[in-house]
Amino acid sequence: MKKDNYIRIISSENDPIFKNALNRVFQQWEANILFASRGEKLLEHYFNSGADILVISLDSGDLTGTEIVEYIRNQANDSDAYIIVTILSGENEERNRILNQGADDYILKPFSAGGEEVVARLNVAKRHVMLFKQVLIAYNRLSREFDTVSSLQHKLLPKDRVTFPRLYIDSFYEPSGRASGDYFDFFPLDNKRLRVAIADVSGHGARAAFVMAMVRSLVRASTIYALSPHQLVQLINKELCEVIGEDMDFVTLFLGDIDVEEKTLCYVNAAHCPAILMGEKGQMQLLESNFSVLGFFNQDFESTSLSLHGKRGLLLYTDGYYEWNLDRDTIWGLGNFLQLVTEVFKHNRVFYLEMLDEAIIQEIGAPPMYRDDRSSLWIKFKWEEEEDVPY
Amino acid sequence: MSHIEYSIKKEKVLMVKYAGELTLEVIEELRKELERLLEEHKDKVWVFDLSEVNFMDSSGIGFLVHTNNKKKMSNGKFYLLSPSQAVIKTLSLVNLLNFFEIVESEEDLEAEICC
Repeated sequence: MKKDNYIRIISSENDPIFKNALNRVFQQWEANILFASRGEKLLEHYFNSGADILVISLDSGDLTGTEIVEYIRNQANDSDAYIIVTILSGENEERNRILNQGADDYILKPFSAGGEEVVARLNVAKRHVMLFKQVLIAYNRLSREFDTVSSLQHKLLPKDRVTFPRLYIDSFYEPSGRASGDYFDFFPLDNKRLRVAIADVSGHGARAAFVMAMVRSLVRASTIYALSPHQLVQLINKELCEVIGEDMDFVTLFLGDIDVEEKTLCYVNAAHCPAILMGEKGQMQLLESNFSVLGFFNQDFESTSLSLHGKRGLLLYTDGYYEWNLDRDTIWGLGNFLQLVTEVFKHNRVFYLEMLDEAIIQEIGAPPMYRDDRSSLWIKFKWEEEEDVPY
Repeated sequence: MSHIEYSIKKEKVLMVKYAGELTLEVIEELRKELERLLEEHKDKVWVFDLSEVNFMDSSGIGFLVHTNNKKKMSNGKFYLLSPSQAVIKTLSLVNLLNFFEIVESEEDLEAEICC
């Protein structure tokens, strides 16, 4: 790891006054200063070691200063290096051109005998580089924090392939950034009931991840107090209203208990996108939201119970699956997604969640530019012995 | 591209028209831009013309509910004017359509405010 005061400088300006000024400005620094007699040599040094500061003589022999600046900014795509160009006093029209090309500063030649202006300009460059390094350090620190959030968040999601009698569970999770507002879960309440949940916190990033962790804790804690779906959603809403208060965040949640002995589903859908209950014969039943979003105001929740006889499975997902642009003005939308799910189930006896992505790509001819986190859960009911149909 | 403009109607209504996508990408900037304006006109009726919003995500919903709650807390009036199909669809999906007071035209708004 380089020290904070380590700096790499490459110069094709070899005037003794300039060299002297350079040494004066960076004498306290651990500076690696390379001089190049020609433009190509300068670029060679640049490619070998990179540079924090480049000092380019407008006439660098084989290459002009303009060509070098253009190359570094537009071909190497380096917008970080601080570039100073030295220009002969007569070449006035070059000044604006070189700045527009991407140089940060210029110094007119011949240099004054004491080199005071050169020292002043190099001090500007030094301050710029110091600031840039500080920003980079802060960015890296934040980045590491985000990685920690992301890693912790992944740990909050259940591990796949949890076995439960008469159910097969498949899950999919793809955050749009490092921290996400999506949450899904599944865990046994007892030996005959599996609790499933999928939620979406508005927004992204650390803020959404924090709210997601809070919802997850409440969902998991509910097993201790044997709360029913509507009691749990009531509690989550109350807690979110207290914490979120007057902010703009909210949560949508589908929470249900699957009873494999009774073959029933008892659920609450609080403003989450409709869960899909697939029939054995391909008919789709949408379990739409009966309530509003969580975290804004009090609501009286009620659970809905329905029979799972003759049902193939339950598909839960977040809106990231369908809220993306088909083109500049068109959102793909829920309707298209539901149609696609119908087709996938119609044509496949075996279903796994990656098939949704494959079908979307097939439908539009390319992977979509998803703009949100995506999560999904597929709970396949195995009411009968189905040796040949694992999913 | 999004676009925002506002006007004062008959000295008692602050009309804010927003066109474009009402999403996470624009909400923070929009909130900052409107904060001062809404505070400056806190005694007026607030109206958001959403007829030209072509997409709204959860952050957009959050912003509208937040604004509505803020206004209601001070016993003020907040209306959505002629929301686009995209807005209607999104608010319906999260069961928030009835949460807002919606007017279809400026004439309806006038009638609402008068009575």
